[in-house]
Amino acid sequence: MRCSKAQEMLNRYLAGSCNPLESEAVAGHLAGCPGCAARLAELKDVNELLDLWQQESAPEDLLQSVMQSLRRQPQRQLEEQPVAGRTAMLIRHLAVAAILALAFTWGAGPWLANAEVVDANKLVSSYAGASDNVSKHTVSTAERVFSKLNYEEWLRR
Amino acid sequence: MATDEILVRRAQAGDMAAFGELVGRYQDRVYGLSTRLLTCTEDARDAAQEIFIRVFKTLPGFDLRADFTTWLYRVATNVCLDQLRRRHRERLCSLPARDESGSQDRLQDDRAGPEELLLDKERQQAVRRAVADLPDEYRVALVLHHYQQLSYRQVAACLDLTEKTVATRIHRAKLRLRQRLLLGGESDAL
Repeated sequence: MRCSKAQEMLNRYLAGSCNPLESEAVAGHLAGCPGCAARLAELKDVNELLDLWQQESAPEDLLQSVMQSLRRQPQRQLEEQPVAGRTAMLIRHLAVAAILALAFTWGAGPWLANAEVVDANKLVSSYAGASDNVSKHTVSTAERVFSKLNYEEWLRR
Repeated sequence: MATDEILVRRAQAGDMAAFGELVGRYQDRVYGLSTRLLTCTEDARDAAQEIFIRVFKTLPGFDLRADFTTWLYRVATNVCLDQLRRRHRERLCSLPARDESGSQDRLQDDRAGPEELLLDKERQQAVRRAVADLPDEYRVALVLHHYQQLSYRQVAACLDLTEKTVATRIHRAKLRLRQRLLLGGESDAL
């Protein structure tokens, strides 16, 4: 291993971030290279100097300030979900509506086939009414979600 | 104690108490990062507050499969870099006010005399100045790795860089610090 390569790896070696092969190669180089060994000692000194700048605790009132600031934010802004979240919600609602419609269709088919003709008219009417309700729910959900959609944000994405 | 994931889930559902717990858990680390990147306690405090507010606002979009700590550091680093871009380098505060009577000094009272304390303080301030004078990209990588204890891989994920680039930046940062603090490259040699 060349000195330049070894020196590039010294920080990772010190941090224990080298893989076993790299560590072995660096250690082997250091054993026979006083110059790189001296550089390693200097890097250890730099690390010790850096450690003089110890962690300072956060100001005691930081947590309180953050929470107060969040409470002061307009509620609509805080509750606003990102576009990705709203789109996912829309897709979930539409999927549920589609599954319900399919299940209703599959369930109603055999039922209608076995019913008397007179009763079938009533069943078709109630089925149509239920289908209308599912459609209305789907449309109103879509409207509710899209009404909150920030189109500028959408375009940026 | 609730895990980060549980708290994040609750906070995503609008539970302010859960978010408060997250803030309490990470405030020292976030403040430590902003102090070392901005080198000014006033700016660091403002930045820490802004970081947590931004985290709260973007939390609904956070993918729980990702590592929350790395994501938090990514948000924190971006806020700090935004602040750095907004202000001129001349405005960097080299000697934070809290340091004048900081807890570290008090802790050392029992074991060191006045001369030793003064020397330690001078060394610490020299280190702060040297770190503050590093180019931003070097300082960010160095601080995330050395002070925030992130692995090279985590730093790379946080900064959207390759591990090799992170290693190069940290290497160069240390070379500059070595030149300045150990070899007398500038007046801060110790």
